[in-house]
Amino acid sequence: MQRIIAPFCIVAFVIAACPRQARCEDAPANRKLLDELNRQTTALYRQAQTGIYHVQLPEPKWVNAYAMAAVKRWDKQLDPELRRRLEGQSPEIIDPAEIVPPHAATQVSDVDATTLPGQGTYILVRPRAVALDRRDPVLGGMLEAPPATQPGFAPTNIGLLLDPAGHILVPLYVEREAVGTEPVKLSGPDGALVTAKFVGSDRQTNLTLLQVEKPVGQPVRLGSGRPEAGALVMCLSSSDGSGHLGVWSDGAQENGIVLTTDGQVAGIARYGQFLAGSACQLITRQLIEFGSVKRATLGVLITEIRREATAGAAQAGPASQSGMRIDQVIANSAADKAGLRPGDVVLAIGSDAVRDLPSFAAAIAARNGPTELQIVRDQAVVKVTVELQQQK
Amino acid sequence: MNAIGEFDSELLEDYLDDALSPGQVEHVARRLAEEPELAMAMHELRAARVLRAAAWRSLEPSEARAAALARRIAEVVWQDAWRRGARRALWASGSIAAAAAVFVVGWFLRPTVSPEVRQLSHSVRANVQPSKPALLSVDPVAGYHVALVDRNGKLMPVQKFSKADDARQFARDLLQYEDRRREAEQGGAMLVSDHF
Repeated sequence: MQRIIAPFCIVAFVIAACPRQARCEDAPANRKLLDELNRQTTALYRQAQTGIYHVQLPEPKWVNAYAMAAVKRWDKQLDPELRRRLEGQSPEIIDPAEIVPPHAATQVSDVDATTLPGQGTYILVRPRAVALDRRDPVLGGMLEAPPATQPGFAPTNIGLLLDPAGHILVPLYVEREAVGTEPVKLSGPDGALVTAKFVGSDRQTNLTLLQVEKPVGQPVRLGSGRPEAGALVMCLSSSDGSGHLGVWSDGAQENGIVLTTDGQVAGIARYGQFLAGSACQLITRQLIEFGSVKRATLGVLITEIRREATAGAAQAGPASQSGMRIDQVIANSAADKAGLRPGDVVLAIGSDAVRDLPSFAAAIAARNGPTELQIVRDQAVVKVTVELQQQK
Repeated sequence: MNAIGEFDSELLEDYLDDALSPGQVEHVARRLAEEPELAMAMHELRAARVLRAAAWRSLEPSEARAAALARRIAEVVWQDAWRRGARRALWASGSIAAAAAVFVVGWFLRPTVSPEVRQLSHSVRANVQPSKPALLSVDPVAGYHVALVDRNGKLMPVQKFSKADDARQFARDLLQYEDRRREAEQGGAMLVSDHF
């Protein structure tokens, strides 16, 4: 009996498997959309890479102060040799610690806040999923930047080639004194190792501008605003230029250069903060002209108030919108004279919405003279005009 | 025994035991000759001694029985010694087994620095270890060391603490230090508050 049943089962299995094989052979006809997406993505990525340099910047001095704040409580008993090592180099320790929200009204999860004297308050967002798994969520693969193979060259960031003059914008603030007189090493789109000079940097927008003598590649095109919510974007990592496709949702999970599907650089995203391409261009112009940003002094201490960008929040009124809360007004300052008060939340400067600190910093840098601010005071939106005087 | 005094009774006992001086012997002999009651008491005392000696002799075992008894005693002594030895061995092996069990349990329950350090064992850079584990609970002066190791595995200076909690907290702070440094260099730190 078994001799009859066994061959019967084998034959039945083969018959059942054959149609499946046939269906697999038919599949390519149904992947046209993905194939097209793949071609377009690859083209976009390659296009972007022609304007990207890999930069080896010295460690910013503020990073050391920011990192050392984590062991500040042991300041008095810290072993002198240990302190020297910690301040001098990174021992490459790992990971997680307590997470303390910087402010109850700042709805940013997983953050760690530190205020540096004279340098504002920083929060650190840990990109858990992003850092550990950079695979493309759509294609499943990873868009890797070409590895740097030159000996003695270890790039830490990427830079965008802005113009034929060789200006390269790096999305990280490094002090002029940290760079010193040494040329900065970087590799171009062709992989060749070159050097660049330091042009200037701006702490509040977290940007540094370099210049190479003979640029190679194609300058990037800077966009003028945030991508539309739900739009398909490509995000390139600030550290190594690796990319992934994603659906834009205010960039809360992104840290890097955001490209729209037309190949423009929409801006720089930092876990919810977003500096538009046009703002980058504005800062760059001032850095080229002055070596620093000549920003008018408003005379306020402000804190970023981030709220969830939901349809419900929009309907809930201006009090539920993200903006910059004024915590302190300096007497006789432009803000004081304009009647700004602690507790006011700035929503816009002129026509520019200011949802976060970098965009606020860029908007202030763009203006001189009478400037209209849109603020929320006592649950109502009011307009206040301040007299801004750009630094000489 | 005749009604003689206690003193005379003891005197006669000593006389029979040859425990008297020559002068006392001569004195007792003269009295035995002169005092019939004392002589009678001496007679009865000697008879009693003879009877007692015979009785003792009847109770003495033979040489074979004495040898058997000696062998039996030796066996008992040897068995007792063996039992004591076995008992000691049992205690010793039990103690060793208990110590081994405690060690195994302690090994699995041994304190660790933190899950994050365990998670990336290939790049663990901070560690907390008591300098003298054996004195962990009785010698707090021995303290705890938090050691840093650089990316080449070279030991960097250590920070000493007298409390384990402090050492662990310091290790956590060091991890946060590194976390901040790495993420800030990659643009992960955001400025959220400042003067304008």
